[in-house]
Amino acid sequence: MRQREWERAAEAYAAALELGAQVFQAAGSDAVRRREVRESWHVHARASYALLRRGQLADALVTLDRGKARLLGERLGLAPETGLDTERILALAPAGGALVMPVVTPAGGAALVFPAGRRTPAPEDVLWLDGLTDLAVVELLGGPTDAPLGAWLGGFMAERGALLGSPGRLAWEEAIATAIGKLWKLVMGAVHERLRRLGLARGAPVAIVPQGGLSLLPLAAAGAFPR
Amino acid sequence: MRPAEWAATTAELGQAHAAHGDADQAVALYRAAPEELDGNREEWARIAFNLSLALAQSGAYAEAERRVRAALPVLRAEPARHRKALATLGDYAFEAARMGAGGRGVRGRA
Repeated sequence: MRQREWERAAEAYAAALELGAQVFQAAGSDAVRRREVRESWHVHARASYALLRRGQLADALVTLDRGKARLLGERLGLAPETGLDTERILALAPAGGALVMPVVTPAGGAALVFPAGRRTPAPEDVLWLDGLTDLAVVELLGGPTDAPLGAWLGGFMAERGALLGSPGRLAWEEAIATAIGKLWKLVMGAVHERLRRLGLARGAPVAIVPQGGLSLLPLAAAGAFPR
Repeated sequence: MRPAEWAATTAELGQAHAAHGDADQAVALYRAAPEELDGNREEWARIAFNLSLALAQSGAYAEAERRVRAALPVLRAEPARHRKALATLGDYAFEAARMGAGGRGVRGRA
């Protein structure tokens, strides 16, 4: 039953993304392009997740990358959303290391972990992360949605310039410690375990391509540090 | 007041209710929009789409999907809205997959 729903979601999103690409390319103004990016970035992530659930790993990977390409293209004024094919995406894994691409949706998320040399995505490259929801990332960024801005962004915005040892600085350091601990639980602990099982050498290069709100968080610093 | 003007006012009221989380009131207002709208099919399709979103917000996913599908042929003339409607159909299926029998949570307005 759920497979049928994932299939329907993937089909509708694919049609929306195809049409959206046409609207984006035909847009006569930056404002229209920005609107298209703003209104479709979540569609790429959800489409990718639905495809992952369907087992269409290569399509999921290309869709996820295309969303990122469009966002970066618009932000950096680069040429436009073409995205890469599967082989070229997988080739981005650094030699001796791995490529990590998280996906976040309201239904939970996943992390795609590709060791260097992978030619096609395999089922074992997908780590399902049920707790990695849009809401979890939003709360990690700003705290509870019904409260004033707090957590990572609140600490960063309010206290980053505070003097060492001051209450403000201590609060910011507390926010950092909380964020990296939660990131470990939500995403990076499982990714680390996967990398360990892949037999990567200590210090091996790992390229992380975050998506959505995760782009603003210190994924590389995540850890289960004692408090 | 002409049907199209009445419908536009009703639609704005419906959006206000939906934005404040009163999906049931929004549904009631959208349902009250006349079918004819002086032959303005585009306006009818926008209201049908917004009705669909309000229905989904109140958990009535089956009718929400029917409403947006009925509006699709008309929305085709407006690619940006058509794209949004297709993405919304994806959202409905996504929520259904997530929740089993039917989930909650939609975004956007036509």
